[in-house]
Amino acid sequence: MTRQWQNRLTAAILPVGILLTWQGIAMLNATPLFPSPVRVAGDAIRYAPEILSELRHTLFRATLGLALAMATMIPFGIFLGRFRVIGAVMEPVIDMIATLPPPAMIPIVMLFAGTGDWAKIVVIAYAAGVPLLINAVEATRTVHPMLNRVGRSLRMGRLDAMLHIDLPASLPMIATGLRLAISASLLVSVTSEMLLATNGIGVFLQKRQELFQISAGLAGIAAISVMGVLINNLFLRLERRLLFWHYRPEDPS
Amino acid sequence: MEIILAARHVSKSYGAAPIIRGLGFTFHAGEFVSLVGPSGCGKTTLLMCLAGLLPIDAGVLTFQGKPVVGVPDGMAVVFQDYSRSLFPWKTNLENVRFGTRRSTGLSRANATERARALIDAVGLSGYEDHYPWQLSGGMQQRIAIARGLASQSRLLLLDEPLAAVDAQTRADLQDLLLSLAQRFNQTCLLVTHDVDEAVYMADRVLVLAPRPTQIDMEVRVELRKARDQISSREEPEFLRARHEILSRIRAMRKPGVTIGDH
Amino acid sequence: MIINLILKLRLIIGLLILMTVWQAVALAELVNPKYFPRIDAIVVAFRDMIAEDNLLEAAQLTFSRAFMGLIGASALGIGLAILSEVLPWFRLGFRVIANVLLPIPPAALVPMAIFMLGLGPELYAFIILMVAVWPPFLNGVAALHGTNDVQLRTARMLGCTDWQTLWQVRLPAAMPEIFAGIRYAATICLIAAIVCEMLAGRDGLGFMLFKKAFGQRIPDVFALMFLCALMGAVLNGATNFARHWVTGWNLKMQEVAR
Repeated sequence: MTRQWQNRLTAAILPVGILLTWQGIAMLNATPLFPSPVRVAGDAIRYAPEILSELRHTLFRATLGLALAMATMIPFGIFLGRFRVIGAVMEPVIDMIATLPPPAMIPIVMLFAGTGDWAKIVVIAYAAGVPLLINAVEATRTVHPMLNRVGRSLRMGRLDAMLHIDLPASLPMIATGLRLAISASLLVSVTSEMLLATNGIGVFLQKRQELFQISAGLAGIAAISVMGVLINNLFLRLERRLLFWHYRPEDPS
Repeated sequence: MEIILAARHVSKSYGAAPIIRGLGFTFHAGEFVSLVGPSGCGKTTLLMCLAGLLPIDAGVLTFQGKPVVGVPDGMAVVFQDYSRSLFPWKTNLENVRFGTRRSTGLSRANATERARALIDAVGLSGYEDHYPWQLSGGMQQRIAIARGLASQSRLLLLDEPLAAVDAQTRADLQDLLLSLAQRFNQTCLLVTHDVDEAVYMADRVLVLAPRPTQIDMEVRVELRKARDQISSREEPEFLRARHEILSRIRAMRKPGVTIGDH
Repeated sequence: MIINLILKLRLIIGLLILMTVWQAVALAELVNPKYFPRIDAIVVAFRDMIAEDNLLEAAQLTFSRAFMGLIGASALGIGLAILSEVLPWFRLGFRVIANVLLPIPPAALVPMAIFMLGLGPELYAFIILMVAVWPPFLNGVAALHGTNDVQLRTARMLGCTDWQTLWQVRLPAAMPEIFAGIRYAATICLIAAIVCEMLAGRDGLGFMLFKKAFGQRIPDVFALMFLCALMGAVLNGATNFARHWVTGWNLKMQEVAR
């Protein structure tokens, strides 16, 4: 048996063990308030269309919020990173604003913008924007000074330099910030749905709770998990492909 | 003289690539032996095997008569990378004291005392409560040497200890090492790429062949025990040994030279 | 010269700029004054809430939940990381579990958790642990796995068994990276506590935020938001203090290297 398959089998021991124990306890207890994994799987299939349609709303808002954050915070971060004095002055303000937990923003946004899509998108953009901004600033600040000199020697204007030197050089760190931003936007999207209930997977979960449908609720949570895993994996692969020059193996010298 | 370390037909490979093949030697108590060879010949791998940090694939390797399995009690190593080898969360004193671990039955108070004495012996009194990274490279390596001496080992192995240190400091450290070896009657094995250093420090120089390596040549250094950076390096004996070794290493770089013929 | 002065006083300058811009916008009524109160109105709201709404009690509740959760999550994370290092089957298997649990937002767990655990401290403990354990755990696993070769050889050379090497060399060497995870976990703990309070609807700053928002008491809401941010800063400060205490050697070492 190859090493890889051996590892996969070993990796399965703990999760399978937990699932079996869970199934065993559920069968012994036999109450609908403690569903077995089999029941949850069954409900996952039963509710699949509803779950998927709700997830669509969640994803839609998360994507818009993320796009908004990327379009504003990445350029702003590069700007702050390049113009060091402004960046240094803004830094404590940004740090202060960054300590505000995104959920704490939701009530005030609700008062401003109701409970509709845009209210949620704004909060998502805030949550996603913080890691993007911080990483973009840091990435631009730590661009290798040699690259700056190259830009000056080629007599590049400030805007040109920002576009052609700062942006590519800071991409790896920005990519890390983007990864954080993506998971933040998914997370806050679900959370905002539960607090500003209109539609989405968060609402689905709350409805299950109201109707005492624990099994279906767990199925919904599983769906969120699967979505998160898929999206993160996708992004990781994209990152490795596009930023291959950053992830090359170190020279064995 | 007692035989401390003995090797016979020792071989070691990394996967399919042989690094060491058919290597043999004997070290005696009280000797200072240098191991020198061309770059990439496997010096460090050999030292790791001698120290028991890497297992050998074939042959016999004994330390004080017993086969080497893991790092034996009575052996200490000074690594080249002092910044990683000294633990940055421990002070200098704590680092050196940690070197007494193998001396079972040593009370904490005695261990501390021994550590202090050794720090003094390497000339760093007053730096006990500093951290290693607060010191210069040469000073850090002195702490590492002090730690190497702390367990009063039968054999001290040094893996290119002065390679990462500037030339000026290197000369000072060479003399320090020699004086400490004499003072504590410490058997030493020094691995180095610097032929001058190898001859200056040692009673015997073992020249390693290119990969797969073995002992190609042994050169006795009949210099006075009291070495001096200027006069010793001018003596005819020094120059003879140096000439012999450098010529051999140069010859080994040329293709078509078989190991062992000179 | 002036630039140097500006850089030194930038915290105060930043705050002053923020407050000035805010007050100006409020006074000029650029935004509906109902939604954008003046700074003095916010201060008054603060004072009133302390007197009438047990603000300090609520703040203390939220903080203690986040703080205790952080300590628990850190200890649990480190423990699980050590377990992963020592038992290969656990390392491989738990990584699968971690990947599955990682994307789940705390809010999603709250409805089910309320069912199983009620509305008491167990609820908060469960939710916060479930979300905040991951950064210390993941960082711990990575750091323990990547212990430097030379350090490991040195430990063996000095006569340490594998077990001793783990506790006396690998764990101290891993602490700086673990603490980076703990800092991240601190923000997560506060978020989880507040979200839980919002959904459980009983007490704490999260609950007060929604209560005041539904009551259209805008200055109160802003005051509470500021308090939440302040609490985040205090939590970060406490984490930094612990970080200096445990890994001060690493921080100073990096300064020297610069």
